[in-house]
Amino acid sequence: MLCYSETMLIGEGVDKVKPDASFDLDGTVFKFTVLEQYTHWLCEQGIFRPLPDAVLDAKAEWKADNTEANYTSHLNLLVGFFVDQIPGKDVSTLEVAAEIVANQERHRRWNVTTGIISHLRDSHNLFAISLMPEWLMAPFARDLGFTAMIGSTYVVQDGRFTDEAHTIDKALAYAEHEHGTSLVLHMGDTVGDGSLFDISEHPVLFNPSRTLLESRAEHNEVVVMSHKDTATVIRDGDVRIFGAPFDIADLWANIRGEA
Amino acid sequence: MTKFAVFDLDGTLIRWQLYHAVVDRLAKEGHLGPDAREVLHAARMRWKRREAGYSFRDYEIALIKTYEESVATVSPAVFDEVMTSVIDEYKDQVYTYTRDLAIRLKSEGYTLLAISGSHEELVAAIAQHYDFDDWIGTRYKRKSGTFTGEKYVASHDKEAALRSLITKHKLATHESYAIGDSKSDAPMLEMVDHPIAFNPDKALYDIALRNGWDIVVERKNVVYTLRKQKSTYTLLDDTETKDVS
Repeated sequence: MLCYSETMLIGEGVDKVKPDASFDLDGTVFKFTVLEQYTHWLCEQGIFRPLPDAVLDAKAEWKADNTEANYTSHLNLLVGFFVDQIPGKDVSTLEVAAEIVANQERHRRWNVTTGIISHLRDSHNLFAISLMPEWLMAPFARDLGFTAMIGSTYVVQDGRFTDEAHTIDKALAYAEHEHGTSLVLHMGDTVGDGSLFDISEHPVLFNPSRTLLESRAEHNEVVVMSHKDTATVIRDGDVRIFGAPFDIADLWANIRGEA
Repeated sequence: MTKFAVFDLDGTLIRWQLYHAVVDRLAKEGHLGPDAREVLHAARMRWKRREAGYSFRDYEIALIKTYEESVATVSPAVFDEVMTSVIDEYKDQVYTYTRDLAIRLKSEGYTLLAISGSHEELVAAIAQHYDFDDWIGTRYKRKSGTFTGEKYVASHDKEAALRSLITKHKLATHESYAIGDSKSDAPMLEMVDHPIAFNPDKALYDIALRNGWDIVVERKNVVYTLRKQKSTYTLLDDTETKDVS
């Protein structure tokens, strides 16, 4: 029996002298939910059975109402369906599928976040930390030049997935990999990022959900919201607006309160 | 004289562009010629990949060009069928801030207006769905069961379009609202006491900053209201945003 993560080189390139910066993926780096696109593709290809009506109906309700409760309800149903479909599937088939979906969807990124990733690449270890399965994260994280990635692990036996999976607490998972230098930045968009915000020097709430904003209200952290060709940095209630192409050095200085 | 609230639709009330959705579907179904689907896909990917010098506006121009080169060959019956399915899909995919503002102002006696670059028929369907009082869209002339290819684009001059509605309904700009998301909306925002740059692109952002207009951004389920106070913009808290007017 083998945890999938043990078959991958995670954090091979970590430089123990450099500080770390970590990023959530869904909604923070990417403008979409990677697992959703992946699941749809697997259904279209007949690798998974067709999406149940309950998942499609939940999505329609979320699109109509745009409430966080509806989004969560849709996501929970989708993840439940995904987890239900995984046992017995051939690992290499799902790896190839991840590569194909990554190739199709790789451009749907937030320019602000990818700009910061590029800006920090030489000076920081870059961690992608997500609840999505590591084999799915791998092509997306590799494409963006992350130093290391941490995601959920799925147990494999004889080249096929079993029904055993392990999701992560982001901060605990990061702690297993950290190497004594500081976590300078964490960017995330949901409450699942809270534990990493707690331990990062510069937590950045990127296009945060209302639940995240409310849960972090007392911390008075930097909010970055991006839409169309703009990015707005809110720090202590003051507002700084950036237009594309973004001056990332200036934006990063603004996040750190040095501009 | 009655107060009014004038809304842009695509990107302001509706989360996506209705015109784009219709053209996209016509192309996918082969009504705009054999190459249209591929041409639009390539243009969309250039924009999505943020290729140097290729903006959303460039994609939009490619979309309009593709549509208008073939519009005379599209049966209005086909167009109407596609339009109906697009409306069904998108009519409720709206921004809650603008939807709720429209409902509130309507209940307070404001005349609700919509001015959009989308097809007049699309604009009418959405405007009626949200109980607007009047609207202006782009008119593609029909004659003898076909589109002639001639059009009247009111959104090229939203100021003139709004003036025509003001005159028609005897409205007052005092205490009135205008809400839009792009530079083409700026002329109608300049005409009213309560301009709101909603999810503005950078060009409208800059105009709003120069004029000190309220800027409202809706992301996920959060609405941020940015208001100029003294010389800088600050984020209003929830209690202040309940009285955006």
